[in-house]
Amino acid sequence: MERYEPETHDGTLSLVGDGDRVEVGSLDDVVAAVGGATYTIEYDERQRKQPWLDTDDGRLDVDVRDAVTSLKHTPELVDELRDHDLSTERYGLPERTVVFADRFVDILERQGREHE
Amino acid sequence: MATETDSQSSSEEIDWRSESSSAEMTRRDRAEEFYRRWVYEPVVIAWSDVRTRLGILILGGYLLMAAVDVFGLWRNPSTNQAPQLLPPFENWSFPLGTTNSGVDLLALIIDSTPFILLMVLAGGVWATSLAVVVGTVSGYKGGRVDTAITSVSDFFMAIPGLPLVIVLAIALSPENPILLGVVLTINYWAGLGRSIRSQVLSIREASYVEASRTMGTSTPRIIVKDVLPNIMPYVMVNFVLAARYTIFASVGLYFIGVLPYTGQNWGVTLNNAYYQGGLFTTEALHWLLVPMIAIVGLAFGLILLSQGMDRIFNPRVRTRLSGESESVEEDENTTTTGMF
Amino acid sequence: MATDSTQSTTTASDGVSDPILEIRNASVSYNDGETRVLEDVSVDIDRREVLGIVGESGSGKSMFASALLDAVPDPGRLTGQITYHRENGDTVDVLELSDEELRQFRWEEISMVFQGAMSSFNPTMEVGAHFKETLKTHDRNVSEGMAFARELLENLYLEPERVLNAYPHELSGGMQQRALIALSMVLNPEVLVMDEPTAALDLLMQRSILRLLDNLQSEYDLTIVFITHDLPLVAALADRMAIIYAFQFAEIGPRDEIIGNSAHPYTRKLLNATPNLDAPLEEMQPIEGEGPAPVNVPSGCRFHPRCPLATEECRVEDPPLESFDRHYPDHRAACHHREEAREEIPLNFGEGAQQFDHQPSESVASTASTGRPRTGDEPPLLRADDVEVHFEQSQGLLERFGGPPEVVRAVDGVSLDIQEQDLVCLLGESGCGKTTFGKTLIGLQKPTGGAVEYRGQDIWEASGSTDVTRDEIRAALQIIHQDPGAALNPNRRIVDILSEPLRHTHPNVGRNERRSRIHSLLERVGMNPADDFMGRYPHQLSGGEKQRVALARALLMNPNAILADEAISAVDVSLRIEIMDLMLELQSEFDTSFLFISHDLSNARYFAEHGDGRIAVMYLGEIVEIGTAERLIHDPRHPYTEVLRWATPSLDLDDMEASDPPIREVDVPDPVDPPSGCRFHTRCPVAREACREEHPDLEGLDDAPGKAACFREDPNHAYWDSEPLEGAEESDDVLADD
Repeated sequence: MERYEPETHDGTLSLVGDGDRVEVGSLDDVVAAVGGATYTIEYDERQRKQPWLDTDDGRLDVDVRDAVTSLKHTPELVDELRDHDLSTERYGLPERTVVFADRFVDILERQGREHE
Repeated sequence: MATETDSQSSSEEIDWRSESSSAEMTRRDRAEEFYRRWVYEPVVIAWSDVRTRLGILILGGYLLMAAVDVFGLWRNPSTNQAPQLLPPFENWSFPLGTTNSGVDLLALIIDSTPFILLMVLAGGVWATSLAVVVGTVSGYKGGRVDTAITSVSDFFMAIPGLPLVIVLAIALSPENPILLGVVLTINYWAGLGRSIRSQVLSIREASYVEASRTMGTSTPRIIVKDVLPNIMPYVMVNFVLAARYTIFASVGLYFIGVLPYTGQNWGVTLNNAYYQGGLFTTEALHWLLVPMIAIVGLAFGLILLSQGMDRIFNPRVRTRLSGESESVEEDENTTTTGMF
Repeated sequence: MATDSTQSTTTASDGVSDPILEIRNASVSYNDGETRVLEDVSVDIDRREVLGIVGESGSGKSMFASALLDAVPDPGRLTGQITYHRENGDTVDVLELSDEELRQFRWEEISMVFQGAMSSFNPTMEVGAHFKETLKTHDRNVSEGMAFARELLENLYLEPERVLNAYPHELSGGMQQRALIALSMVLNPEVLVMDEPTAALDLLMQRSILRLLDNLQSEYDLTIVFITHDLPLVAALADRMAIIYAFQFAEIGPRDEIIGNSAHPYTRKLLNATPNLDAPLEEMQPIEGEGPAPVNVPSGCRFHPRCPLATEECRVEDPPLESFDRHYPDHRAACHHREEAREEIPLNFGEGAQQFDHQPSESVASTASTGRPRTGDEPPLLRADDVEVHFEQSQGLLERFGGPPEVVRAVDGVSLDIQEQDLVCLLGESGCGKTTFGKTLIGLQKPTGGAVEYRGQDIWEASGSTDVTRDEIRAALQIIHQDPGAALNPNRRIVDILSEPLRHTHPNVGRNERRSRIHSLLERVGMNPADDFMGRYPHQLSGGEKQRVALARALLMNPNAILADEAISAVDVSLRIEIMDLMLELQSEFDTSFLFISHDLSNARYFAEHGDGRIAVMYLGEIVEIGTAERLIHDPRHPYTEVLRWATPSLDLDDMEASDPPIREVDVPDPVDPPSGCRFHTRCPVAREACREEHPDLEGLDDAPGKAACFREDPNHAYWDSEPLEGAEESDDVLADD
C-alpha cells in the first residue's frame, strides 16, 4: 500500500511519499491542535486485557509528538490536507494543521475500527 | 390520503386509529402535567443534588439582596451615615462595617446587587444565545451558510478580546447594566458557537433527525425540538461560565478604571478600598474583603448551579428521580457489551 | 470419568471423556450477590470439540465467556470452580491463579475473540506490531512467531504482508476480525473462546469466517467455545450446543439432538422463531414476551412466564439441568415437562421443509416478476430510472488542486419500479449500495444521475405547484432505521415523538384527539398499557419496543411507501418474526408499499413471501438479480445469489455441514475502483474471460419470472467459448443445484 511517511525538519512536520511532499505545519501547532502532548485512549474491561495493550487501568497514553512523527498516512488524507491552506488561520492555527489534527484524533478515537 | 381535520371524518378511514380511549385529558390534567414536567421535576432533580442545592441557596441569597434594594428595605449608602472604618460584626446597625468615609458596606453591596445581576444575566444571555443561534444554524445548515458564519466567527476570534472590550468600554461608556453586560461579552460567543457547531454536526447525522426530515418537519422546528435539547446541558453550563466571566470582567475593568463609575458598585468599592490602603492596614481590610466575598460568592453559586444543570436535562436522571420505572434495557453492570 | 468424579452439588454428565475445561457451579454476581448474571453453571468442555452456546442479548452468555478466562468485569464476583487440564495431565485451578499466572494463562492456554475487540487495537501501531507485541510480552521467539502469524493469516484468506503492514483502521471489518482471530491464535492456545466475534459483520462474511474457523480447528487441534445469539449460524460448526436462558443453561447436548430433538420448550420455540430457509412460513412463531433482567428473575423455572406448558410445579420449583434419555445420556435439559415439550411444540423445519419444496410452482408464476399486475397506464408508485449516486471521497471545499477526487459509485445505474402496495426487499452485503439506493428511492438522497419518480412526478423537480406537490411526496415516503436506539430523540417522551407526524397529517386536531390516536395505535402495535408507554422516554423501552414506536411514527404519516433499513437486525431473535409480522399486517391495513433492506436472505424471504413481493439482489451498486423469494432460493440464476443462499444458515441437519463458499475471494472489492465487466467476476466461481471484458445487463429470464444480469442465461453468449478465469471452475459443479 502506497503511503506517506512523516518527516520533521526544524520542527516542521511534512508528509513525504513517492517524490511528493506536503507540509502539515509546525510540530508545536499540531500538538496544540490535538489538544496536548499526550492523548489518552480508553479501553473497556475486556479490551484492556488484550495481550498487545500494555495497560492495566485501560488507559493508553499516546505521546502525540511520537505518534504524529511515526504514523504513516494514506494518499486520500494527503489529498484532503492539500485542499486546505497552510497560510489561512483557523482558531489561531493554520487551517491545514487543524485538519490534520482532526484526522489524527479521529484515527486515535476509532481505536482501530474501520472508517465508516 | 387523509386531509380531514376533525376526528369524526378521519375516523372512518381506519377504525382503530380514532376509537375513543381512556386517554382523554382534561384541562386540569394538562396543567398538572405541565407543572410536573417543567416545574416539579426540574426542582426535584436540582434539589436532590447537594451542590446544586447549595448553588440555588447562594443565588437565592443574592436575589434576596436585590429584592431588599428594590423594595428599599435597607438604607441607601451615603457618606457619614456611620462611624468611619467600623469593623464588621461589631455594631449590628452596620453588620459588615463601614468605609473610611463612613458608608455602610452592607448598604453598598445591596445597593449594587440589582445592577450586577442584570449585567451578569445580560452577559450570559447575550453570549450563549448568540452562540447557540450561530452554532446550530451553521452546523445544521452546512454549506455556504456555514462557511459564511464560520468566517465571521473566525474574524471575531482573531480579534484580541480584552483590548476590544476596553476600546468599546471607553467609546460607549456604558452605564446601562444590560448594555454593559453585552459589551463585556462582545466576542465571547465566537468560541462557544464553534464548539456548539461541532456538536450539532454530529447530531445532524442522527437517525432521529433524519426521521424528522423525512416527515417534512421544518428546519427551525428540527433545530428546536431535536437538536437544541441535546446540547442544552452544554449550553447551560456555558451560560453560567459566561455569566461568571461577565462578573470578573466587569470587576476587573472597574478596578482599572476603564468603566464609568456610576455611583458605587462592587468593583468600584474594591478599587476605592485598594487605593485607600485596604491592602496595607488591617483596619480597612474588611472594606476590601466584603466586595471580594460578594463577587466570589456569586461566581461560586453560579458554578455550583451549572453542575446541576446537566442533570436537569438528562432524561435518565429525570425519570429516576421522579420515581418512574427505570430502563428495562440492558443492564449496565452486566456488560452485555455488543450482543448485537 | 473425570466428570463424575467431581461430585459437587451439580454434576455435569456431559459424556465428555477428555475434558479440557471443567466448570462447576460457576456464578457471577454484582452488588454483594444481589444481582446474579450467571448462576450455578456446571459444564465440561471436551478437548478439540466445538461447543456452540446460544443465548439472546442479556442472557448472561458473555459473562460465561468472561468466566472461562476469569476475566469478569469489576466489581463482579466469580465463584465456583474452573479446572483446566493440560494435555500432559497437569491440572490448573483457574480461579486460584495469581495475576501473573493468569496473564500467561490467558492467550497462551485460552484466548478470546469478542465483538468489541474490533476497537481494542492500538491505533498508532501497525497490525504487525500487535503480533510482535503479543509475542514479546509472552516471551516467545518473535521471528518464529511471525512466521506462524503469516501462516495463520494466509489460512484466513488474507495477504499476510498487506495486513501486517496496515494500520488497523485501514482494514475492513471482516479483515479486522480475521486478523484478530490470527492474533488470538499466534501464541498457539488450546482453547479459543469466541463471543459474538462476527455479529457486526455481514452474513456472508460471518459464514466465511466460520468456515475458516472450522478449517483452523482441525488443522491446529483447537477447542472452540463459540458464543452467539444466532442459532443456525453456530449449528453448522458445533459438535455440541448449549442454550442459555436467563443466566442459566437451559439445555445442552449433541448438536443434532439440540436441533432435531430438543426437550426444552425454550429451545424448541427459539428454533421455531428463527427465520430460515427451510421452515414453512406459516409455522414460524415468535416467542411471546422478553427474557428477564437480572434484578427480577422469575421464581421456579425461569422460562415459565413465557412457556405454554408451564404448570404450578414450574412456578415453584426450579428444574435441574439433568439428563433424561437413556440413549443420549449427554443430553441434558432443565425442564419439568420434557416429554410434553417434544410432543406439544412440533418443530417447523425438517419434515415441513419437504412440504415446502413441493409447493406447486403455479403461485410463482402468478406473482410475476414485475410485481403486481399494472392497472392501465397508471405510473408506478415509485420508479427509479437509471439512478446513479456517486460520492466524492474527499469532500473538501477547494477541490481544484491535486488530481480528480476519487468517486465511490454507491449506486450505479439502477432501475426499479415499485407499485402501489408492493413489497421489495433489497438484499446484499454491506457496501453494496442497498441503503443508499433505498434512501434515494424515498427522496432522502439526491441521485447524481437518473431520476426517481413518484406517481410520475420527478421527486426532485416537485414543488408546491406541481400536480403531486413536494410536501405530498415528502409525507408519502417514510423510513424506519436500523438502530431503534438512535432513531428516537432521547430527550422526548414517546407521546411527543408520536405527536410529530400527527402535526403533519392532522394539523388541526386538538391535543386530546392526538393523544387518543397515539393511544390506540400504541395498542395496535402491541404496547400495553399504552398510557404508561406514552409518558416514557426512549431509554425506558427495550429494543423491540423502540422499533415498534419507530414503526408507529412512520405509519402515523399515512405513507405510501416505507423504507425499513435493516429494521429488525437490532432486535432479539425471538422477537424478529413478531416485528416482521406486525409490519406485514400493518402494511395491508394501511395499503402502503414496503422497501425492506437486509443482508440476510432468510429474513428477506420471510418478508417477501409473506408479503407476496420480490427480492432484488444488489452487488456493488447494481441489481444483479430480481425475482420472487421462492425462485431466488430454489432456482437462483446469478452466481452471487447462489453465494448469498450459501451464506444463509440452514437448520436442516442433512444440509448442515458447512461446505466451502462458492466464491473465489472472501472480501468485497473497493467500490472506488469496481472491477471491469461484470463486477462480480473477481469473486465469481464460474467467471470467464468474457466476464472481465463485457458488462452484463439485467435482463428478463426466458423460462422463469424475474431478471438476472449474467451471461450464463444466454446460451449463445461468447461466455461459453471463453477461458475460465484463474481459480474459477469450468463446470457448474460449484454451484449447488437444488
